[in-house]
Amino acid sequence: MKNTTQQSRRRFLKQSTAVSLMGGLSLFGIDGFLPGRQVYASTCSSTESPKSLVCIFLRGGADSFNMLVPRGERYSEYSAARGNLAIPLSDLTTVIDPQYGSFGFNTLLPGLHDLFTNGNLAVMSNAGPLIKPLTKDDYLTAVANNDTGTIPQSLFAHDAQQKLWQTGAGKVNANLSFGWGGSIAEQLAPCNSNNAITPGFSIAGSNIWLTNQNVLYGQLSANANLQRMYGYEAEQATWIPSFSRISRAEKMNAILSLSQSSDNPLEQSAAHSISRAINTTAMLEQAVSQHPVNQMQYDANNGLAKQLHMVARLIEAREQLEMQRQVFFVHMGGWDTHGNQNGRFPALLTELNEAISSFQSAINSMQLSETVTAFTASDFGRTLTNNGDGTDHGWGSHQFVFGGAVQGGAIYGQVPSYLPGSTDDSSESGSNPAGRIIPTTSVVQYGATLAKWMGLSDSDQLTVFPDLGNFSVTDLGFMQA
Amino acid sequence: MTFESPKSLFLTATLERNTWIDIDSRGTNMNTDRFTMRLKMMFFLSIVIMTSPFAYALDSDGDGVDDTVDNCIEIANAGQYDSNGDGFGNVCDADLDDNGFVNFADLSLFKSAFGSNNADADLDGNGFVNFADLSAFKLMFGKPPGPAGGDSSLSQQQAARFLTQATFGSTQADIDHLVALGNYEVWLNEQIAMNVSLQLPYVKAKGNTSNPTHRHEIWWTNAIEGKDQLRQRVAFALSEIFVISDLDYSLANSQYGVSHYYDMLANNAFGSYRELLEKVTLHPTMGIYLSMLRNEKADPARNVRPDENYAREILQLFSIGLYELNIDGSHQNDASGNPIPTYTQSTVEQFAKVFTGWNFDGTNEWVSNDLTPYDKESPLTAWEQFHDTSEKTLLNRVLPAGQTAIQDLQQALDDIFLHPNVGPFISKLLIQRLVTSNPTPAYVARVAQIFNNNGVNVRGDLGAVVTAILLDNEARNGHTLLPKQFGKIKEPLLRLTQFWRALNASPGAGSDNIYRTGAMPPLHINLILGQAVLKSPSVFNFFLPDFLLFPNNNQGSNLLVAPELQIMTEGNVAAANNDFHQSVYSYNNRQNGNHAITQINIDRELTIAPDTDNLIHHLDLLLLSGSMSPTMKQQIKTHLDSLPQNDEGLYYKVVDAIYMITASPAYMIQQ
Repeated sequence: MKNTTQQSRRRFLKQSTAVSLMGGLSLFGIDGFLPGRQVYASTCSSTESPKSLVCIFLRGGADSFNMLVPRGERYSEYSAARGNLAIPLSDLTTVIDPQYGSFGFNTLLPGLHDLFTNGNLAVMSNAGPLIKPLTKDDYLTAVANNDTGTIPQSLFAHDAQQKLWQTGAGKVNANLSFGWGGSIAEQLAPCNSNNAITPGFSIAGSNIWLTNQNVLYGQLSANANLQRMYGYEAEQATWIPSFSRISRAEKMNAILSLSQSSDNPLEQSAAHSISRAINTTAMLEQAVSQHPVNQMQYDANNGLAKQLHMVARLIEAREQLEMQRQVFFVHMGGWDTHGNQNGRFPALLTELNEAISSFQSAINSMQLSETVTAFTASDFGRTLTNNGDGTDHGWGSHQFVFGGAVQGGAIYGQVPSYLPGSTDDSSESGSNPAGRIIPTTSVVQYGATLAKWMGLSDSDQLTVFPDLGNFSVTDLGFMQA
Repeated sequence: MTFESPKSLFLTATLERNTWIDIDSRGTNMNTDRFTMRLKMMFFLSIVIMTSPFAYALDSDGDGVDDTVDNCIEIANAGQYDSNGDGFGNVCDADLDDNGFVNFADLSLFKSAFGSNNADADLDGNGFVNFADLSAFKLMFGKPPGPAGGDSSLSQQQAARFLTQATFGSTQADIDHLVALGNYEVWLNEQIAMNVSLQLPYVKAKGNTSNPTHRHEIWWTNAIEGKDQLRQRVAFALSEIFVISDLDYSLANSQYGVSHYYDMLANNAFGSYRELLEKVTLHPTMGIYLSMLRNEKADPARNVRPDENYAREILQLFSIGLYELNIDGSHQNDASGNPIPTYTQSTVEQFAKVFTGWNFDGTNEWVSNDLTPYDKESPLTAWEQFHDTSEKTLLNRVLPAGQTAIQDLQQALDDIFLHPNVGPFISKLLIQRLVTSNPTPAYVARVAQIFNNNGVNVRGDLGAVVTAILLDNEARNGHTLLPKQFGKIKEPLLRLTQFWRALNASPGAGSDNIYRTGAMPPLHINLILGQAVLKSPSVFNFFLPDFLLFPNNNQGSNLLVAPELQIMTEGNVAAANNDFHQSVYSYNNRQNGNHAITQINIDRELTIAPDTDNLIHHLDLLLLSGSMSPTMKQQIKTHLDSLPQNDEGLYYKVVDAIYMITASPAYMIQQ
């Protein structure tokens, strides 16, 4: 076993050298990974197991109040608020939380139910962007006084709330905010003995969550295989005669270098996009092709499962890639269910359930479950009340954390009242309160608990989440120590 | 002194015709006709200025001042009168707002100064602004000011740069045509008058309403072959602002409606923003996409409220944005430096009440699960029994209780339309789509002022806005004035349209008569380019307008944005690069028997190819608007000259040159 690893390591390093010599491209610096710009308090020992963290972002604002539903005496409150969108009791499973009693998962989420009952899935109840703990009175007073300092900016707007969830900040200020996934990756990057590979990967395109000061994350497609770059790599596209191909690659890389130091920053950025593509595909093509993870089974149209499949392949390859820490971002759209929610929701839950179940099964079969944690996040929760056939933008929401290291089988945080107009509802008192729930747990607490599991020290957690100091509890307890 | 030349008469006639076309196509304001009449009368007056026939070689206008120091080289002005001291004599400086170009904004300023003694508008320096000054003004309309003010010639490079902003890519024929016209304004008006290339007739002829393939096919055909290039380019820009997407399953089954929506954008590309906003609002596909369709009034007994979806997005994305703006697009901040929100949650709830009670045309059903059978082309119609008739407090007005659905809707759209944010908000988005990601605040302000008033008291004239965007000095000269921030990352779709147009591509042959790459048909091109028309992941388009440029070097606190960079993932960059490679090397002829794939035509390039410098110069013009750096030229030349001196070598000379340029970082940006 050790032999194999060393062989593959040698092969990999050889390949890396080839890439770095090609066209004089550096794997370090801006298009590779640049560690050690800063001394971090966080450490990781070489004897420790590798760890991978996966963010599953549900774009559009998932109606999580219909994923996990209270049973018992709270059910009638829930049912009245939701009207014709309420999930009937017959469509709910039964789980028991030690503190809050009887709840049910939507029966379209059997995989989540099973993970919960096996102790591998925890529910984070009513989380959302908060700068500091906020009561309804605080909120309404701030709104009335146009006090923009204490409430998260641009509540209820999709892009703004995605940014707040992904940065952990209370302000939408792209110039200053980085993503907490990227910041975790940046702080833990020195743990990776192969620092030529970025620790952060998106299989879902650009996102804020993986950004950090150098935007060092890779962006792969969910397709089965990576394509290496023709033209720039002399040994690709070998049907082109060598009299053209070799000199062509040399000159193209020279032109690329010229553009990387162009006076025009747009040309520079285009050049860096190309060189990142060359490097990323060259570094990973072999590792990905050697780890097909064929045991992960799912419907071919399940876009989220496809992305998680690529994540599983990179996780299985992490030792070969000499990565001690990995951070991933995947996403799923379609959750903005303003209309025809009863018609659209089942397909969304079915896709989510299958993706999560098949991914966790694959991780289990690799015997890596203790070292892989995945969690959900979304723009916002939705209104408790409905607009005839759908729901509108809310604030607090339930989220799910799963994996072998999760202290599962329990609901964390506080379960809100389901009564429109209650003290949990941000709506002004009036005849028709909407049920936009004020979060009782902040994104920064949720994120810091995950960051701590990944190995971030208390002080580094504060660097990543500057508002964390406003909250008395910084470890919500849903991860094993 | 008077001046007579064929050129001046030509320009006078041109301007007159253009003005007719312009103003007639914008007739949205009751006052327009009066202004039209006045302008017509003014333009028909002809004043003749004379010049000396005995000019010295170094004194072109014969005013006794040598060209080397003359502040108007081609127009005689012995007095060298220059009221604003900018070095351009008044007689050749009609650029009253000092933006580097003489356009409708200057006309507006000129008009307001007419009859006064305004020093700047007094072009002949006789002490008052009269018809003589108007005549001089006309000669300079549509051009930059300056000593060479009478010279209207355009270089091939200037024409190519302009066409890269205003079309789906330069062709040699289009460059030659614009150079022959010698005037951007003339070209713009020619384009504005063109017939509209439509999608719906093709889509209906080819398939059923549930097949999304054909509307992508016709989009490519219109982008590559359409004569109305400016309109198609602006329609595409509008489709990325007023977003619908058929990734939504209801719209996937409404292809006639989605095509009709795109045609509606094209038809209104140079019309009134206010009319466009109403057509967008009442379009059944938008009704489906943002769920205004069958939105009903509140029923507190059932905990039902009006749907807020359209109310929120029309404010945030289609009109005013989240924060109060200055005319130059910058945020207005409160005392503690935070931006001031334009509206609150309560405002959204009030607008949500406005947008209640709308249904498909020609149906008697309010509720149904299957949206397929309904009319997706006619505007939505009001069902008053589902309309919320209570009072509504909007942005700057209160709608009284008891109004009909259409009364509420039109007054609410007026309320939005008249918000001061709309000018800078929409202007900046259009500038970003056409010209540059980081316009200076002054540029945004100049265009926003045209949005607010096109010069004849019409607000929201999109034709005038597009014209102002493209004629602005920053658009025309930004690459030299602001080399460290001007330009944009090319949208990936536009990299491909430009490539195919520049190289005279022909679609697949026979029954495969469509534009497609080897790797992907049009329907799935988003899998490698990150975008396909009306197929974005959400109403927030393929990319956000504030996506940060990376790396963001040497900008201090003034960080630059690069929206298109958001979809240039490594996966997409690699796949697109390889697809281009295949297009250049495998599909430049049909020898290999694959008739379905679009092929470029390199015959012209093969004849030029023996002269390496000429080949590079030619491709530089077509693909990079002549901006290729000397060092890049040298690298390419060294490679091309290393190839074998035989037929095979000549072939690789051409395809390598094309590929090396289209795969370069320089080709990925538009400056």
